[in-house]
Amino acid sequence: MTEKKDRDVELYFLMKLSRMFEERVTALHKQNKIIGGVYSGIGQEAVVVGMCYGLLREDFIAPLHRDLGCFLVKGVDPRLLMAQLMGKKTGLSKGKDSFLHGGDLEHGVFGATSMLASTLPVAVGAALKFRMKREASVAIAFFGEGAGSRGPFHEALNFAGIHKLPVVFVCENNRYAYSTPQELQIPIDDVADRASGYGFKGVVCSGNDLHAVLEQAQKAVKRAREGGGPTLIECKTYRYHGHSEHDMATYRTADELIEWESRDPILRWEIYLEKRGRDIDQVRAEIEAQCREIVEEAVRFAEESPFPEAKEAMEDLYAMPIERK
Amino acid sequence: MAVVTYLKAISDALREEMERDENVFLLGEDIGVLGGAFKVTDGLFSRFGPERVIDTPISEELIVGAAVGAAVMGMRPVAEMQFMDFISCGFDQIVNMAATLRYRHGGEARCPLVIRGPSGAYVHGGLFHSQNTEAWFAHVPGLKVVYPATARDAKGLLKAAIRDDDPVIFYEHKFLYRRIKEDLPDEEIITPIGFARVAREGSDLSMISYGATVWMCLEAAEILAKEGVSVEVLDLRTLAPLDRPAIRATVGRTNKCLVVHEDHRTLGIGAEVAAFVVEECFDQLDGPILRVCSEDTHYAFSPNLEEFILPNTEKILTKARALLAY
Amino acid sequence: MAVSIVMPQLGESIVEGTVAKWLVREGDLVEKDQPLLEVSTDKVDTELPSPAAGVIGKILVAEGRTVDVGTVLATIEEAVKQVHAPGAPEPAPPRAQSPAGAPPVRATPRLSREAIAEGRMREAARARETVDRPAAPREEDRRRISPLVRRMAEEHGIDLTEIRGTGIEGRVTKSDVLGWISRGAPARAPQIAPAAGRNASISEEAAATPAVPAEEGFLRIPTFSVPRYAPQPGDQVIPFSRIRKRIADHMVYSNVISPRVTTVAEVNMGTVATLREAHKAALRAEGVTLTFLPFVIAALTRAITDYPGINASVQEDTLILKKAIHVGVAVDTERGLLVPVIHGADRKGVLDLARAVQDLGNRARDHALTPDDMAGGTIAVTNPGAKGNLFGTPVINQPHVVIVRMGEVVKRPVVVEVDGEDLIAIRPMMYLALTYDHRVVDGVMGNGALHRLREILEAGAFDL
Repeated sequence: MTEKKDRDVELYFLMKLSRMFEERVTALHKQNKIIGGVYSGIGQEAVVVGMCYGLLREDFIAPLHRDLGCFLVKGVDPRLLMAQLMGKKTGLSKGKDSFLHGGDLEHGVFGATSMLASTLPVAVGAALKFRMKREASVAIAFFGEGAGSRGPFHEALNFAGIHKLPVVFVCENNRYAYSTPQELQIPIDDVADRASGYGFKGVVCSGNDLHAVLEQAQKAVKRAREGGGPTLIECKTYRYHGHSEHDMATYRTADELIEWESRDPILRWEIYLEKRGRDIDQVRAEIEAQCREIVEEAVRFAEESPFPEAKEAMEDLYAMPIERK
Repeated sequence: MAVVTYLKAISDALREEMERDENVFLLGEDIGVLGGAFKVTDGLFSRFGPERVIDTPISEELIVGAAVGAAVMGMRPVAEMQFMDFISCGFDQIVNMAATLRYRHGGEARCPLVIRGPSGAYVHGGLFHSQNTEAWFAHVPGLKVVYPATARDAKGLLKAAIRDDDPVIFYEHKFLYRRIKEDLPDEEIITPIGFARVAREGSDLSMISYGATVWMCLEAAEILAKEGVSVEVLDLRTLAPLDRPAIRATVGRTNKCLVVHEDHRTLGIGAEVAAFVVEECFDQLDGPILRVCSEDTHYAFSPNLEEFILPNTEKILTKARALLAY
Repeated sequence: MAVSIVMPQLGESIVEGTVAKWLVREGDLVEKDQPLLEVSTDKVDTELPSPAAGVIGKILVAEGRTVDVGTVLATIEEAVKQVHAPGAPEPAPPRAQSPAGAPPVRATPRLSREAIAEGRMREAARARETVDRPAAPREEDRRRISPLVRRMAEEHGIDLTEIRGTGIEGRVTKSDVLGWISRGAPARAPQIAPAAGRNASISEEAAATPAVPAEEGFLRIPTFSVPRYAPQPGDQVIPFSRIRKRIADHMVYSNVISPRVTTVAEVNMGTVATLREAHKAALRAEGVTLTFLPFVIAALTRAITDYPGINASVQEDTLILKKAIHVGVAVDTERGLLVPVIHGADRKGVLDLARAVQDLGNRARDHALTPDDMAGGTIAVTNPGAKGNLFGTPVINQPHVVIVRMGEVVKRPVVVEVDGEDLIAIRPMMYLALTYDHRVVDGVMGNGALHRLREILEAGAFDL
């Protein structure tokens, strides 16, 4: 029972950390301390926390550009993450690229490109390695309902289905690909239906309900580890902010936003904790204090970190550079 | 010693590397039971089995992307494009995913990946089985581009490419597959990436080339030798990064520079070679830099069209004589 | 109809100008406003644009000669307008229209490094012109010289016009040059020719311009073959700008012509520093920085009263003691060192001198100096500023006979006498160097002048 309680609080902590980190990032962006595009995942915390919770360091994940929580849950140092967002030399990509394009393979986190769904074949390749080496690891690839329209999504699911590879495809269906609504993106209600065409199971769950995500994630990961092949999990969710911080999201209504905010994954989890007999005000205060400390430490570290030197632009292109000047 | 074709040299390199390192595996279309459209992987499926010689669906983006995923996890995949024309279907995975991988991971990632396949024309292949796509990738930082002309280099460079920790695009010329036969030594051949080769020494004019046209340059050089002219032929072998010291050296020896390649003239490798020579060897030049390349049109099918478009020994001789007389 | 090109007045007080370089030759087709020649007065150079379109007739004033304002330098025949008439028959090359037997400006291209550099600049200039019109045909244009052959000719001192080319259209090829060398060509050693030859002709005309006594024969500059350096990757190759070339020629000339002696004094700047502190703020309000320099200039003008021999110039076998005191002030600009002049420095107080220094410095850096600003200096001061180090031995700004150089002002322990007692005190000290032309300034005068300068500075009794 104690373990259960601790796990509940830990999950709450991870969702809160993710949100408070992102809220701080939004503020820093408005203060011009973070330059470039900022893509907020606020509102979608249950998906990233639920999917990554309990994964091992060897497991491979390919998060999306707004899946900052994946990095935190997978154990990436929040200080390096903040430095990454500020373009600092201490960031994951040493200032080479912005936001979440820098990965941390030490923790099994693969850096995405801006070509959404292009990481799906890569995750399949990682899963192929696990199969070839008889490893029980799993690869998880995240994508949006918009990226599901692209070729690599279909090529990746097709190949994974043929070889029953240990991979989980996670669709974060937040209803909008930038401004394009789902109705103009796919002619069906559920992206999960695509899976049947590739010979494996597709399931739909509420992406704002951490219990639902955890349940589906654990089933899919177990199936993958045991050789049962891939799963497609579609999490219906919603991003509160625009596509990026410069997007006012005028293509959707205020009512729609309010409706989704009332299904907030963190509020729901607080109700759950309260029903479990926790003093939620006390838990919230403690967790928020912890998260604030971590976030502020990350900001301090990032702000004190230097920018890369100009000549570093020519470094890290090759693992085995050939100098033929 | 054994006489092997350019194709067999590639096949041998794959087999030797797969035997040496169990992390090396192959993936591509029809490479398994069939042994590949050109039989490059013939016999490897029966030797190494379906897990290490993987027949994929027709999904170039998946082939390259999965190779990237396996590579970052420590494998050494060799992906085959059935024709290098089809590499455009995997373009995003090459130039965005593989080429930037190490860079965006702050130098904390390796992508030991080879993408190889048959390239080039002279076989009446038409628009989609004749293309020369090497310049596209030579333009992208983070990639290495290799193009052997001899059986020895085909073997040595492929083995070097498989052992390289960066993505290497490995071009094979389908016209050379069975036409080039060489005695190769029994001992292991590794040809380092990044170094050009002087295919013939000379003092009056340098022909700088790679791939199938190297052989046409050598033929032209032989004809010109009978006329008392001494031609040096430089086989670039690696197109990215270019062996600039070798280019500088040959131009320094002959002071006249003719660039020959099968790819289109506009923004081909020859344009970069010429720009480099002008930038760094300007006062070594005793004449303009000339080029013999494919015309800026598609590789048309009909034999008279194809002959008009592609470089050949006669065209090389004409330009060489003009440059020699300059 | 002929149009005259005349030497313009390039400043209110300017009465003469030197033809630095002709950019065109007799027979060349020129367009209106096309640069024809470079004219120089002291350090301000300018190009003269053509007053009309036409063909250059006779060039009347050769390079290096200095002539009065208003002198006709060359003429332009305007008759060629028909060349541009549509449908007109192809005219004969304009070169053929030049007066029969008229000697070309240069019979053969000079092949010194300078000549080659000039040629390149001329070609570059022509390349710009051809955007708008076809270049006038010239011998060199028809003879396309490859970069390699050009370099070989330079290295071996070969006149390419003497070689029969076997390349396309008679082009001289590498093997032609190698054959020429192997046959024992009369190669001339490439030389570093100091400005001597070039300025010699100026001296015939220009009284105010220094003479090089090369013709008299007592000075022989040995030739020395400098090994050619082929630029390596990463090297920067920066051709001399006109100003850089002028500076280089001037420095070489000055070093050759004047036997220099430098004497150094250690000056206690304590009193001056106090004065400076007292007036700094007031001047800063005007945007003027009060440095030590105007104090040194003021002190120098007073030292000249006692030692008039340092405010002078040499002209051939004559020493001219100048009455007016016009102090040149070295100013560092991105183009090179310039020495604009404070005229009548002895009639200005320290604060006015500070204003003048600031004004000249600003305008030098803004490219806004006039020829008058540059003309007429009688003596010079150079102040390398805070990074001036201990002391230096400057090169005399010709045709002056003295230059004064300030070292950095630093606090040092020095022995001072207070109430008859020796004490060690901390004082702002400066090493002040005075370089003099030992042809005309003897040691007594040179040392005396510097000593006096020191006394004036240490006493600190200045008219502000």
